[in-house]
Amino acid sequence: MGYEQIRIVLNNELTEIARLHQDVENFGRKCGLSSKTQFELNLILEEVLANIISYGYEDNRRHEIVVRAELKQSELVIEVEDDGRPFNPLQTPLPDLEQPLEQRKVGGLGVHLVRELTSTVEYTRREEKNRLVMRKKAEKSEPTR
Amino acid sequence: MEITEEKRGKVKIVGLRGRLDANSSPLAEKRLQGFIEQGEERLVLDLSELTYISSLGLRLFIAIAKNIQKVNGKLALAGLNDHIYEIFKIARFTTIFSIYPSCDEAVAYCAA
Repeated sequence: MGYEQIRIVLNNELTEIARLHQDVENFGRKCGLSSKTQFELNLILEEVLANIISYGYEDNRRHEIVVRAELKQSELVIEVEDDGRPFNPLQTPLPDLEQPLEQRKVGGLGVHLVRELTSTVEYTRREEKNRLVMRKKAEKSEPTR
Repeated sequence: MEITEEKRGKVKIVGLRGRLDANSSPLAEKRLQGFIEQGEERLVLDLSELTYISSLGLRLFIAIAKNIQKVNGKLALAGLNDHIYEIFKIARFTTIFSIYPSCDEAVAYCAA
């Protein structure tokens, strides 16, 4: 695998997630990621971004969210930076996943998926910004015969 | 996201094609709730052409399942690809949903 990286700047609108997916898919193709890693990378970024866009801002102004991803050897380093209110996803309580359907709560499910699909998640708040750095093992796609 | 519908006996089969993400999930949920409001109580969701799902998509299944339960109906999911099935496992959805490899098996369960 070569060394690839991508930087995407998004506005705080949910419709931006479609563009994000497109860019991330191009990045994944260049890196030769397996369809599973590609799927999970999209999912991780959507969960993080949807949280920021839906709950991060108290005003109606436009804000920029910066997404970076790079492949270092066989590890993906994914970074998201936003100027929303402080939010540390590592502090959100995990949803109770053993409850029967009637008692199932859906809050916290996105953060749970992010934690399960990454090997490490680090959160820092600095200069009025949230910065989330996630690491994930990258699988290569099978070479086509 | 494309939504297809078909009726087989008492069973309504709804196909969700494409991506179930932050943008498409609210609309898809509205359509599905609409079917229940129209009196459909036996629902098969054919996911064989669903390529992507996020937590907002997962929420939709919970909401639909709860409403089907209220009317004493039956709900089954069919044809999940490996990546989507994996997400269902991580969310522990495999224990609360009836999931079948094929649409025919899901229809047989709902018709019974």
